[in-house]
Amino acid sequence: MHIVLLDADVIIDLHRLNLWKSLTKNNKIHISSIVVGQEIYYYEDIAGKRHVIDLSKEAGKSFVEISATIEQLSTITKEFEGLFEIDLHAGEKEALAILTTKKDMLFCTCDKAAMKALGFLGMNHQGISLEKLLDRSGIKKKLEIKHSERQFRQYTQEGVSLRLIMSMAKK
Amino acid sequence: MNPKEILAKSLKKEREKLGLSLKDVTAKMGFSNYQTLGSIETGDREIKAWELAKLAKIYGRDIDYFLAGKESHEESNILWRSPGDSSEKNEIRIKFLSFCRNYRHLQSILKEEENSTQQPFFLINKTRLLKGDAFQYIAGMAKRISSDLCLGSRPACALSKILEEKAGIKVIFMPLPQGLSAATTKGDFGMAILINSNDAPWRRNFDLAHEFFHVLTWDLFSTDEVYRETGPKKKNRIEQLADVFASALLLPEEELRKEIGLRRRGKIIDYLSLTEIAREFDVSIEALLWRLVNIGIMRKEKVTKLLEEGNILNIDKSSRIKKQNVSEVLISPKYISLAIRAYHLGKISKARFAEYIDKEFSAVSSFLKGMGYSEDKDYSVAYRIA
Repeated sequence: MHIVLLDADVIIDLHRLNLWKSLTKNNKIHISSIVVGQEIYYYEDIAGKRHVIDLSKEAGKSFVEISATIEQLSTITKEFEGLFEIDLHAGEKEALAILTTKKDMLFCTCDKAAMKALGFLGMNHQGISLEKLLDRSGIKKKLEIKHSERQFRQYTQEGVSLRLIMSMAKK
Repeated sequence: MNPKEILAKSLKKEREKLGLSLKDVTAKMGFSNYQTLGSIETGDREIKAWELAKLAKIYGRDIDYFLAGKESHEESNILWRSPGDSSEKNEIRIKFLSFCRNYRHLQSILKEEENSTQQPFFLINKTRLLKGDAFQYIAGMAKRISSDLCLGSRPACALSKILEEKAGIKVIFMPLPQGLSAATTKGDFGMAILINSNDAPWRRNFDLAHEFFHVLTWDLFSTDEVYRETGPKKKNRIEQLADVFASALLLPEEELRKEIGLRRRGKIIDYLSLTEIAREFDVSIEALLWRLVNIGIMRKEKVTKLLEEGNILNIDKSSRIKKQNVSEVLISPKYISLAIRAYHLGKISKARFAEYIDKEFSAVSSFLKGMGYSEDKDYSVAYRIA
């Protein structure tokens, strides 16, 4: 069982792929407060029918809502100051801020910029692709490329390289 | 002051600067009473991360703006077509300025900053604008600018694109309530024009050209000068000049005379021909008729009578609705394309992209699909060029 922090897109896709229940059963799921409160999410099936995902109703049941302090959020924000290569939403910044204090927590995201941010902050070991997470949870499912381990590695590595380039430029 | 106090102070300052009351923001935040917000602003109550994110959204800012603890800048002055304040106008103002800042940020992310903050340089003589022959001077000015910007024989077709690409002016389209057709502003993001996306394309074209005049003369006239003597049925001198400029820019005299020449039968021109010409230049029939007065083809009295009778307006309106597919514009095609590119290159996250395009996160996938993009495709492939 992993302690996992999920990003919004992963949450939507888990519902769309009907994997939400099995994943939440096998892992301790957390979602950041900003992602929970952002909106009532939904996805549309092939027929165009809208399926609503109201996280506020599931908080405390299938997942734990977790929040960063303003100080933690501020520290993370400073890391990206003046950096035009990675522009994140407050929800992703909160997720990264939470990770800095929860070293055993894994952030599952399929967002390129968020993956780059993990690498940039030297936190790639705290990130996990949905492909890997499902695999480790014993769930077999064919996923889109954005959830692949290969894409996850590619973008976290881009973040690592970006950090290197920036530190070399500073010298 | 500790960081908590700095944050509290900057939240209060921003709310006040935007002219929002504690009550307004309390309602938007979903707080049961305004004491909660009041204690956040005094620093007595610690603000939660989600609360900060929501407040930042209401104020049209990114959370970084508040977390960085920097002194807030003076808010940009907006020159509205119609003066006066309202809460609705204030909401639009917040959103408009937020789009302008985001636009600039996207340009920085994609290293497309060239021209973005530079005000178009066209030498304009204020004294000439206030003299008796100002209309003639403005017509000449419009001709020169049209030629410099390569607007061609049908300037309305490409005006928005050319103002963005060549003059570095941000053109933002937003649905505005009736009576608010357009506005102009200047900030650290450069010059920007706001146009009502609910208006018909020909109306939007004229408004854009009119606001372009305000951009060009931004440093020449104060807001007071522009609004002076403006009433519900009376336009002041500067607004009249802006209309003359718009009309001369969108309806180049030589081209217009050519079209009239092709359709006239001696000294007669029919209703349908006039509506056809207006469509050809993508302007309203009113704009065309007044331009014909300006260049001496029609008499002022005749045009006033025609417009009062309303027949020609009805013909124009009904034929356009049937023949033209009135297109809807979202924010700005250039802005949207910058945001899509930044997202696909992994420079902005999907949630941030949703904020940029002012859509719900859940709506992004179908939005991209509608624009012809797939989320699962790699658009970062690059080619070496000579």
